[in-house]
Amino acid sequence: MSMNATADTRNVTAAADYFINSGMHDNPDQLYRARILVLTLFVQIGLNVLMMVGTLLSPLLSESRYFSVPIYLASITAIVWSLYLLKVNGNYTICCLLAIAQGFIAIVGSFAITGGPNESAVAQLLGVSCLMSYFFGGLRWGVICTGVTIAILLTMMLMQTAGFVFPQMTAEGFKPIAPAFMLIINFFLVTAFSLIYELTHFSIKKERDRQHEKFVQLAKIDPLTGLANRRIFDEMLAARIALHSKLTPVRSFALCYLDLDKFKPINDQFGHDIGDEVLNAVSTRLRSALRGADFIGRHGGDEFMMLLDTVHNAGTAAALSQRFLQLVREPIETRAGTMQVDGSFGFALFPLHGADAATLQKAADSAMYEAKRARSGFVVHSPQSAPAQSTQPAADADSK
Amino acid sequence: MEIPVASDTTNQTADSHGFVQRCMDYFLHPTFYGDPDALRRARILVATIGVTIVLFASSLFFLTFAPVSAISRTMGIPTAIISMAILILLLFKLKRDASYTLCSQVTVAIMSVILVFATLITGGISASPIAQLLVTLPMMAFFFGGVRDGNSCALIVGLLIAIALLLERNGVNFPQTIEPNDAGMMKSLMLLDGFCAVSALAFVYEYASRALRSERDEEHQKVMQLAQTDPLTGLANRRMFDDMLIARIAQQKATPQAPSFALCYLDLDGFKPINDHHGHDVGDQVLRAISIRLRSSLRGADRVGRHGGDEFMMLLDQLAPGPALEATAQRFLKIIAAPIETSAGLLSVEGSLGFAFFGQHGTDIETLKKSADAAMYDAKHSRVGWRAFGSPTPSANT
Repeated sequence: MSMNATADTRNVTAAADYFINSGMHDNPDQLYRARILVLTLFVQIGLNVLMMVGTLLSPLLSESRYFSVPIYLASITAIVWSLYLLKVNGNYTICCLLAIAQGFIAIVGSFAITGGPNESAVAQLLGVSCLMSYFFGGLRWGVICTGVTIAILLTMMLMQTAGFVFPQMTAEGFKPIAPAFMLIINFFLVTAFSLIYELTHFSIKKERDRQHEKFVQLAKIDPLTGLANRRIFDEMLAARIALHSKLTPVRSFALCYLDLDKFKPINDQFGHDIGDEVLNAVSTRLRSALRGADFIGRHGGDEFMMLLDTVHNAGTAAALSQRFLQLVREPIETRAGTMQVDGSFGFALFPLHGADAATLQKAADSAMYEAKRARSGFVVHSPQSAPAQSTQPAADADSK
Repeated sequence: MEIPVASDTTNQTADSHGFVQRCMDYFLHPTFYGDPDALRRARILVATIGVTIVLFASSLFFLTFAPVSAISRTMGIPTAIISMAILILLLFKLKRDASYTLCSQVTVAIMSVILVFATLITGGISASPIAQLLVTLPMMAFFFGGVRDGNSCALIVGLLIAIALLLERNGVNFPQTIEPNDAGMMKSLMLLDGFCAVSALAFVYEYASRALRSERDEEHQKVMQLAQTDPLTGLANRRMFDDMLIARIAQQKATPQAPSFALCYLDLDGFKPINDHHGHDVGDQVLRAISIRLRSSLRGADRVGRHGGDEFMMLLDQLAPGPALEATAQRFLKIIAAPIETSAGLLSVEGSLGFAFFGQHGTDIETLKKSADAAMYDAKHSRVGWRAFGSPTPSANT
């Protein structure tokens, strides 16, 4: 049902857009209101035409046609004129003011000549012009319209109490059914406006939530690669450490820092756009190599960090870094040709090399620099300095 | 009630109607404060129930003391008392269980029953002055219950109206409890009543819509802010800076006689060792200090952005080669080299600046950026502090 509704909405929107000046498409809120205004004016024209035809054809209304037909004609003219203004000038305010004023004058005028507030059936339609002014004109216009209406109503009631008799020009035959007829029209219009209001509300709320979601996303990710940014990675790392510390025995994992080698020359020589392509390619590859509970973030520049849930000792770290190195070294197709970068990985094991985030990060960082200095591809942190690690990097160098 | 979520969406109300707000909030379950939309609607529900209770109380007063017919008195007084009791119970239910849906539906249901009943005992749809109040029911249902509740309510009330009209047509006479003398006055009063109800609901709707719109715009603003700035330093990010540069180039092309501008690239020297040695936190402090200094030394139409890492770029308005350039470059080098207070003590970095002039060194963004970049590398390699693109010999500042 909602699918049909959207398709219908699209057709109706296209019809409404014909009357909306193209200058108004910049402001979505105004465009939205203008569309509903145009549709409301269509409905108003339809109602006026129906009433006019009814007045002309129905024998019940034969007595009142001399004053009601001119009112309908004047209303239709005013509405068509305001549609024209909207199309040519794009002047939403004037169009909307004209439409509201037209409805208001028509209602007040016809209820003054159908017996005044004590008798008239038309009077209850006043709520509709008030709803319209709130919806199309905003709070200020709505309040003004309400104030004016109440003032007019009170004045008329006072006049009636003082003995003034409003002319009653409702055709005799129509009198008995007039209240019910007007009630139905009023009921329909008020319900329609409430529905429009509710739908408007809903769409603004959805848009707000979408923006909020976007904001939350943007705050979490690195816009270039779509990976977690440093802040979020740190948060996730802290959460993982808290979780694993609670387990008995403490469950280990590895924190891995990666710094790309030979990236800066690409950036300098081919420009940052090509550099961005390289970073994107590397991050896509790394991401695809991760497993279930692993996650990856970008530190900024050419530095990445990964939390590897399945690495529990130096051996697995060595095996995994071979795979990572292969992924990083694989040629990268860019618009400026095929590029190639290299990487230095530094591993630190939780809880062996650090039981808190700061210590662990420092350990991974220093292991990464160690790997970079030794040009060994990767180093697993050890509390002692470089020589203790020489065995594995040597194996790595041999395998190359 | 200092609840942050509540304060930003309704602070206007909170300021101007502190007492009313506190009275309304008394009946709200704490869970409402988690969701500003629910809070807003719940407050309005409480207000509506409150107004309705007051209306019932005043009609009770009216029925007791005004000269009304015996039948309206015997029917009206119990109805008013029972409705008031149910509504007060609802308020406490809302406070205890946060059952917003139930409370809103029961409120609308009570009003529907009373209005339909009142219409039927005052002459039916065609004759009753109360019939015109029926339109407020679907409006309330839409507002409190959303599209589905609103549609159901409109359908039910619409059906009831249709059935009552059919019965009337077939000769059923609904009792008329209003004295013929009062009929006109009653009609006017109900007209005013109905109008005020519709207007009040429309006001509430428009008010809530406006609040939603401003929240949406705020979120959008935050997204734009985040998308355009570098989170660390608050400077324009690369994309944003490029946009500004493109706009400036277009402006220059439109008015070629106006004073031109220069693009300046800055790369920090000695920053990476700080990062490596003291950690990223200290490095971040250095970057922030440099950004603040750069920003404060800009003139009117100048712009600064961060390229990422330790690279910055500046758009320097109305700058031309010559002594002014020399002075500008020296000024920047000086403020960059000034010691920086960090948590790891006083640190200092130096900068290499590369200048490219619009027109002379490029008339499109790509060429201009390449020129500035090349000049910057030139300055870095020859360790001269700054260079303008294509200047043949190291400047006099060495």
